[in-house]
This record gives sequence, C-alpha cells and structure tokens, in this order.
Amino acid sequence: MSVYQKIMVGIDGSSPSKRAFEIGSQLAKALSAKLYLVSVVNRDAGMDSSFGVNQDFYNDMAQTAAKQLQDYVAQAKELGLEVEAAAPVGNAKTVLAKDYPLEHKIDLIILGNTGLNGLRDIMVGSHSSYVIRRSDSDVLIVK
Amino acid sequence: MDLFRKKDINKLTENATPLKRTLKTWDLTFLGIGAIIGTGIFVLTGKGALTAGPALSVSFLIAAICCGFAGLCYAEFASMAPVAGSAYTYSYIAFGELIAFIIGWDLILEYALAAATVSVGWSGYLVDLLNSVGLHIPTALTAAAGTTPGVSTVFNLPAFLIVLLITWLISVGINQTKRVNDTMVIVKLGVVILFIVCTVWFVNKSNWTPFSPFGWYSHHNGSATGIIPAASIVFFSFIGFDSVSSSAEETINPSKTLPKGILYSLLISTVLYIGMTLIMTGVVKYPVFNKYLNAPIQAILHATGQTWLSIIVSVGAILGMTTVILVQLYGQSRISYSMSRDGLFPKFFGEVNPKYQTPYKGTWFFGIITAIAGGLINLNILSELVNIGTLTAFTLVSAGIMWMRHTQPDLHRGFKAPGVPFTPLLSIVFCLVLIAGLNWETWVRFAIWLVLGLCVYFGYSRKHSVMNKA
Repeated sequence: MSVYQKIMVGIDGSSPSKRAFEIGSQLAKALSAKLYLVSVVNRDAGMDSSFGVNQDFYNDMAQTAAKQLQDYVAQAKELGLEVEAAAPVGNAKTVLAKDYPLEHKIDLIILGNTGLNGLRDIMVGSHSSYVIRRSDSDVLIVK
Repeated sequence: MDLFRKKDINKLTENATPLKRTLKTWDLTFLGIGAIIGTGIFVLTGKGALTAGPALSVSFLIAAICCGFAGLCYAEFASMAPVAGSAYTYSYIAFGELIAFIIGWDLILEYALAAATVSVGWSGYLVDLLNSVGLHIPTALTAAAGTTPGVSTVFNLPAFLIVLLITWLISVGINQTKRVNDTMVIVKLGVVILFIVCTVWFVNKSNWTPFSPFGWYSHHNGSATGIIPAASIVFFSFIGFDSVSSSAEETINPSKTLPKGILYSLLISTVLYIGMTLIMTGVVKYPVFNKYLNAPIQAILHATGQTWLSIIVSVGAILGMTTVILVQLYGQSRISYSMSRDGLFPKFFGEVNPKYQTPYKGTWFFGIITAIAGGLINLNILSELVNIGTLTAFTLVSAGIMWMRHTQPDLHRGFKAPGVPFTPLLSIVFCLVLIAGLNWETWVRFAIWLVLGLCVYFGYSRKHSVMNKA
C-alpha cells in the first residue's frame, strides 16, 4: 500500500502556494494519489452583520477563486492525475485544518508558508502553523 | 426600460453550497444577544432619559416589540433565497432594481452613520477614562459642535482617529474571529451585569417621580419628547437583532426555533436594558444626563463615587465598541461593493485589492467620510439618521413579504412568518410610529438622502446597470 492516497494542497495564488501545488502534483503522480485543490475564501463569523451585507462579497470571491483553480486543475490533468477542486467559504484555518480534510479523508496536507509579517502575523496568525497544530493528517509546509 | 427589472434567482444559486443546519434555540438566543447588547445602551441612554425621564424603560419595551415583529418578517424575507446573501441582493430578486437600490442606499447610510455614532460613544468613554487617570484632552476637541448645551466643542478628535485607524485595519484585510467576537459579547454582558449589581443599591425612589415627565409624545424646546420619541432613539440599542433572522437556513426546524430565538434574545436584552434604565434614572435625577451625553453611564458612577467601577466600565465599553466599529465599517465597504458589482455604483467601489482581498478603495472612501461625520456631527443627529434608515429598510421588507405572499404564493420559503398579514402589518405600524417619533429634522435629512439617491440612480445607475447587458 502506498503511503499517501489523498493529498490536499491549499492554494492562495502566492508563490509558495504555487510551489506547494507543483510538489503536490509531483507527489501525487509518484504515489498515484488523488489530488485535492482547495482555495478558501476566509469568512470570520465575528464580522457578520445586519442585513447580511457581507455575503455577496464572499459569494463573488468564491466564484473568482473557483475560476482560478481551473488553471491548476488543467495542469494536474495534463499530468494524468485524478483531481478535485473546491473553493469553500469559511474560516480559512479550520477549513484547511479540519473540515475539508475530515470530509475527504485527506492523509497529507501541503501548504505554502504564507510568510505573514508584522501586525498581520500578530493579529491573524499564520495559517500554516495553525494547520500543523490542529490537523490530524500529516502536514508538509513548502517554504 | 423597466424600473422593477429583477435578477434571476438561478444566477445566485449557481455556485452556492447549501448550509448545514446546526443552530438550536439557545445558539440563536446567544447569537441574538451578542448582536444586540452592544453600544446603544452605553451611548444612547443619556439622550433617552432626557427625552422620556424614567419612563425610558417603557420606551425600551416598545422598541423591542417593534423589533420582534420586524424580525419575523425579515426572517421570512431572508429565507426566500435558498443561499446566504444580503437584503440588497434578495430585494433585487424579489422586488426589482429600484427597490434594491433604495435598500442598498439606505443601508449605506445606516452602516456609515452607525459606525460614526459608535465612534462618538467610544470617544466619550475614552475621554472619561483619560480624565480619571489625570490626562486631559482640550475640551474643544472632545465632541462635535452643539453636543452639550453651554459647552463649546468643535471637533471630536478621538472619534475621527479611531475610525481612520479601523479603516486601515479593514483595508489590509484584518478581521475579527468568532472567538474574539464571543469574548467581546461576554465582556459587554459582564459590564452590564456588574453595573446593575454594583449600583442598584444607590437607587433613590424619589428620582422616579414624575415617572413620565413628558407623557407619550410632546414637544419641549423644539425637540420631540416623551416615551415614543425615546423609543425611536433607543431603537438603536437593538440594531443587529436581525442576525437571528438571517439564520433560517442554518437552523434546525426554523419554523419553531426561529421565533423562539428572536423572542428570547429580545426578552433577555430588554430585561437587562429596563433594569439598567431604572437604575440610571433612579440614582440621579434624569436632567443630570445633559452633561454626560456621550458617556451616560459615567453620570451614575460619578454620583456613586465608584471610580474603580467607572474605569472597568470604560475599558469594557471601549473594547466592545472598537469591535462594533470594525464590524460596521466592514459591512459598509461590502454593501457598496455589491452595488458596484451590479453596475449601480462606479467600478471604483468594486475593485478588490489582490494582495489583501478587500475592496480597498471603497473601504477608504467611506472610512474617511465616516471619520469626518464622527468628528463633526453630534450624537443625536447621527443616531436618529441610523434609526430612520433601519426602520425604513424594515418597513420595505415587511411590506415586501406581504406583497410576495400575494404575487408568488408558491415560492420556496425556508421560514414563514406566523400570523400574516397581521405580523407584517404590526411591524409596519410600529416602524412608522417609531419613525414618527424622530425629530422632523431627521425626516428632512433622510428625505434629502433619498432624493440624492434617486438622482444617483436615474443619473448614473440605470445607464450603467449590469442588467442592461442581459
């Protein structure tokens, strides 16, 4: 039996995440694993407000993200991989660490190190370090 | 061209995933209390007490009943579309472009000025806190002109600065998580309960007579006074309660759970509000609030001499209000984004910064306007405009669901308001009564805002609407 059967890659358009995609697709090819591409539209429930005014924005971002994923899907298919893509709306940290991997029985998560700095790092924190701490699957961080 | 051209509902549902039903009655109740208990009670009780005397407690009850009926109607409205969206988008589908534009335009006013209102209260508590530790900001820079009779003030510098600071945070994509939000709810609730427990002993019952010095509705020194006008003012304290209403699609058995969630969250917050109001008007005679308009709770704590408590309350209020400003400004930039995407506003407001994933330009545009409003306009004017905006939106929604029951009886509805047509009718009556209780200057200002909106609509939006291409 091969080590990893279901590999998830977090995509956000940054250059580390592009590298994560390349590594993920090479690994999937080598291991004959299925590739899952996920681009999360971050929605913090703490920002919800009257008359649901934020929802349209999330819906649009999700559509844009889904379109961007199509390029990656095409590339993966060229390699002959079995691939699935999703652009869910939700708390980026919990979707990447728990929700999506559990739902799809992911056994390896690959993320680019987003390299937040300064204030954003203090207030938002890094997605990759959260996923390392909370996820049940193995995690590979691409620098 | 059709003024009431509608968006196709299938466009909206194309890419949406259905929500999981997880919420039960108590989840909804906590959600509602969290959204309600915010800033109104910290900011507007002073003005309310001056308007109605101790009978302000009755005003809170009236405002709560209004919210109950409006909340049920909004719940049906929000559940007509099977996906999460905004009131603006739903009305684009249900009622057509013109009404959608009016609701969007109305919400822009509500959001911008609610943020400005809260920033004024934030400033009131900050100035008080700084005073108690011996730091003094020049009086002229602590409030907008005409805030306190007899005190010369020019510009509310702290309010101006906090709005700009938060605008910057939002523009670079900093959000608040659910956990921070829940913590803030507990801080705010804690402050309210601590205040009640510590000050109830100082109530002097003689301050409660006369209980209702201005009756139901009267005029005093050129402004509306009495229980109804005070209800129109403190309606602000309940804004946000409709977050329960928009959760129909995430609620288990919504037809039973949702009304209960609305009822319980309104009931609990109203009991707290009434308790607080009775204490506040019992500890000091209501005219004392004249000097504490931006930070009314401090009127009580200065009277009881509990400096330690006043510091705790100030810190709690400041923290709680900071997050409210954050949420309001965020919503503000998102509603103008939606309108821009549909071509009703220029592209400027819809441009998303690729790095931060935020509508960067729109955020700054409205942030700066809000900051200036918070600096220059006094609390009474700001809060009344927010209320008239929200009440108008609820009136439109309530009328809308009645009309939709008539025109499209078979449409999918995740939740049906009980007692139609009485519930929407009562909702409309209460909203109109509360609008009537506001000062006439507010009606004029709001009318000007709407006329301005119609000029934008007929001068720009109609020609640029994305619907033209369809």
